[in-house]
Amino acid sequence: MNKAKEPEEMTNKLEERRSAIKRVMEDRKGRDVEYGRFCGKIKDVHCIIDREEQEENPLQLVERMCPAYGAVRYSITIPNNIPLIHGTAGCAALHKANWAKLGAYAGMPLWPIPTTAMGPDDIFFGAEDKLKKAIVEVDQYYKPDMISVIKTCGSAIIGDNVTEICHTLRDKVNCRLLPVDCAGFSSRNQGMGQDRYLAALAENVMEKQDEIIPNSVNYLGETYGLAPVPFPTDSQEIKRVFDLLGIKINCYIPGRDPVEKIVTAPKASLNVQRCMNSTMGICRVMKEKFGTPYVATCVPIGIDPTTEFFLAIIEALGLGRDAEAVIEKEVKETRKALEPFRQQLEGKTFALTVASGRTTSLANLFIELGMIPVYIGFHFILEKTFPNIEILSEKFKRQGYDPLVLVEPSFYEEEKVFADLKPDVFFCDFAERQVAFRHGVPPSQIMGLTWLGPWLGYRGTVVLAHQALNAINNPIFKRFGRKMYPGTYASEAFINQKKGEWA
Amino acid sequence: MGVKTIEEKKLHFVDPSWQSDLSGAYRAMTSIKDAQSLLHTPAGCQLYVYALQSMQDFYYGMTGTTALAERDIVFGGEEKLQQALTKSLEVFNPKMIGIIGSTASRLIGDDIKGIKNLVQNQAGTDIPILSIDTSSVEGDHISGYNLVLDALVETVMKPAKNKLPRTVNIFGIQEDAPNGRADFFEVTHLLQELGIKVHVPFLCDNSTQQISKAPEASLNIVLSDNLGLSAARLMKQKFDIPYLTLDYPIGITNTTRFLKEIATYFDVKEQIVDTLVEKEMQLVYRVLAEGNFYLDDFPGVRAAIISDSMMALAFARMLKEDLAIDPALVCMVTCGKDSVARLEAMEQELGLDVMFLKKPNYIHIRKALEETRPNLVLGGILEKFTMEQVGLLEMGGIFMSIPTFPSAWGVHTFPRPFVGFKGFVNILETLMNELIRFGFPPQSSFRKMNFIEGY
Repeated sequence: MNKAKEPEEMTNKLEERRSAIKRVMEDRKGRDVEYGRFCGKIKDVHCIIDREEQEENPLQLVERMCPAYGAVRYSITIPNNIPLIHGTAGCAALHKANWAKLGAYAGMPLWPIPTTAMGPDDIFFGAEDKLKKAIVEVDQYYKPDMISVIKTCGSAIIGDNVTEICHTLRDKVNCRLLPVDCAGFSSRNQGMGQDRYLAALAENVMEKQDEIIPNSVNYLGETYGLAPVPFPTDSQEIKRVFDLLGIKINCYIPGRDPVEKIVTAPKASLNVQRCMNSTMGICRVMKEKFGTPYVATCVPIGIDPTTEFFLAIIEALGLGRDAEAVIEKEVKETRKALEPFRQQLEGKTFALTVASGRTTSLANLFIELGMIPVYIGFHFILEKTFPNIEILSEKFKRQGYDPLVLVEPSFYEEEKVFADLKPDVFFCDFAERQVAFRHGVPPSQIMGLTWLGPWLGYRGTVVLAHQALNAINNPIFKRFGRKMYPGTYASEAFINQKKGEWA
Repeated sequence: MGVKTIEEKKLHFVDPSWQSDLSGAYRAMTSIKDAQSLLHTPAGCQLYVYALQSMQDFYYGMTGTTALAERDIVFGGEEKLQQALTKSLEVFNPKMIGIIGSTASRLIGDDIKGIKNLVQNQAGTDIPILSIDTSSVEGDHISGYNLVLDALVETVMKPAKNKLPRTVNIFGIQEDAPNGRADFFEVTHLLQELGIKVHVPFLCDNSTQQISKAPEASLNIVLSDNLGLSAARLMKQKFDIPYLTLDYPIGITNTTRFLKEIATYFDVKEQIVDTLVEKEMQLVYRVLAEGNFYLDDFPGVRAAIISDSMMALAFARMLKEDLAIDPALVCMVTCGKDSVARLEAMEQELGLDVMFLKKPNYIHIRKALEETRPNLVLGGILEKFTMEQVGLLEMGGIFMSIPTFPSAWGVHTFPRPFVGFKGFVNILETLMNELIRFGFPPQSSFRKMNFIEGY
């Protein structure tokens, strides 16, 4: 069993990590290419880069949203900003219903989600005039600070020029207009919609500032916990450490800060990304347009990724040894807090499927807790994820782990995984809980919604360990999980074909 | 029109209260336990509905999407659909497949029917594959639901060799709406007490084989002026099965009338109905006695109902006739052909003073709530939020979740139906327990309204 590291030993590790971080961060600034399906071992994942044509699963049953979902999600977190969906009423209604329900659980604010409700005539003759009138009416009715005009499948296919319309109407409305191109078919990744939304903010809303505030950052990509909830949120945990380091948050983008504050985002000394999948676009635009530097770290989940996250920021802001000492103290305290969990989790096998940004961070955490990976699923992989995968792959190799990896797994494929590998716990997003239950595997939901506390940062690490233990020990999951849902997604014949091939 | 309507300014945008036909079709398909729904859509469309269903009383999941991408939009998605159908047969081994179209597949003009025929021939399979022509561009969730029901009549049902006496098929209940499954069970129970068997409850826990035998029933009962009506008409035309359109049996009056009309049709003695009603009413008397303190508060309370037409009409009658609560605002999120006329007739009959909205925008719902200032709002989660936005919750207004999809509030599972006498007990208990949350004596607007002038 690993013991908590002594301070000196830890300092050496920090030195090592510092140089590794620099190297990896440069690699992460690569293109936003999204890769297709993969099934194999982690050491071979890189082969999908070399494919001439990406493989696609023609039958997907997946936990994947669309870019419009990502754009709406970010849009509704900005106060007094109205998303206007240029598409069908059904599309907007689903956005609204999902955010009302999911948002209610996650403490999200509920905003109107108006739409141009394109009908057959609009499809046939074009809906640009309707959109123009709708923008003016939304401005008059809601009196927002900004209207985010989100282009979805219908308007994208018929080729309505949302950007041009926003441009021509700028002087005719009392609010800012933000055109965002987010057709549902343009990606199978909501992160792309989030990325485009934030990049559009940098292009259309932000203005060059005369002053740069020393030791200040923009915190990019956080959405949960905006409304009051009875536990600390992810952003509060990150802010807690920032406060200890003497770092001021200039702007939360998106979330809580109003449009007029977002305008002044270029005052920050540095852009900090919660998750690169959703925020690299805005970083690039702000770097080019305003010269704001950024750090390309991985999601700060688990001790090592969190340390890397803060060290990169310390390095970029030149905060020096005192700041590093704060991190060392946090690491030491976290390791101590994790020790009782490690004792109970050690040797347990785990399966994990989440979005690519946090998959590697989470896998790393559970390995640190002494757990054994048997299956790692990536909802998707982007080129900028590869440096993280390489680090994880190295770690697996050192520790002798060789888990199965699926990229873009469908639920029916994961059923086969569970039948073959029988993990002790499945770390997943909300819709995949049912997959695990059906196979008697206790699920632990580590994406989307949280009731226990933060998942990010040092304290989030302890919450995640606590959650893992809760799932494994939950008597309801153990006794009734399999009986809660009748049958399985896939047929028995499919699950049992080449039985054990993934074991 | 007799009922008042809010002054609706013609706007070029909506904040819709209804869902798409795609959503309705998907929900209908997933209520058939051995059927697979295949959405010919971008990936997000499927997960949206899946996500909503997974948070309600629902648990089937044999679904898939072709996850249309940019390349498919340019070159067409037919090849992908063909592959997906072939793979569906291998992975799920379903007894039926329903292909559901989307805005994208409609606009690029994919020939879904052609691909369906091609795969059926190539694979040599005789399982029914339905082509559901949804697009999200037209219609609403009930029209999507109806498209599936109609396709089942056309494609899956077979002419009956033998007719089963005193059996009925039920249309009009949505299984994945809050307590939908419990409502099916309660209707089945009540009919059973009259000696009538429910042959196929559309759509609840059905199998393909069960649906294929639906024409064996001697009567179709449609508990809606919209959902299931076209399927019942088609069955009449194709299999010569008569149908009765009845009010959703919510509350004492609606349920009693429901039982009497069916009893008349099947020639069941009146005494049997009276005995059943009295037997079921025993539980109602108990709850009325236990909660008698709160009954003082009901007369004169103003209610708003926001739901599909069948639910809105049934709740309006129940509130007025059974509880002396005035339906002040009725918003029909979806409407049948006769819904408005039926509301007008009800207004005349019961002397109501109702503000009415048809397929409303949330802007208008909000405005109507501000104008009518109801003490009680029946609807889904979005209505609860709207109440909050207009300050009704703060003023002691009470919200009650009713069977409306996808916006349920809380967990709603068997055995707490909304229909029948047990359903009435459920409704009463919910209302009384909401009142007691405000303390004793209750400080909700139910009480305030009796004392504060001008509210």
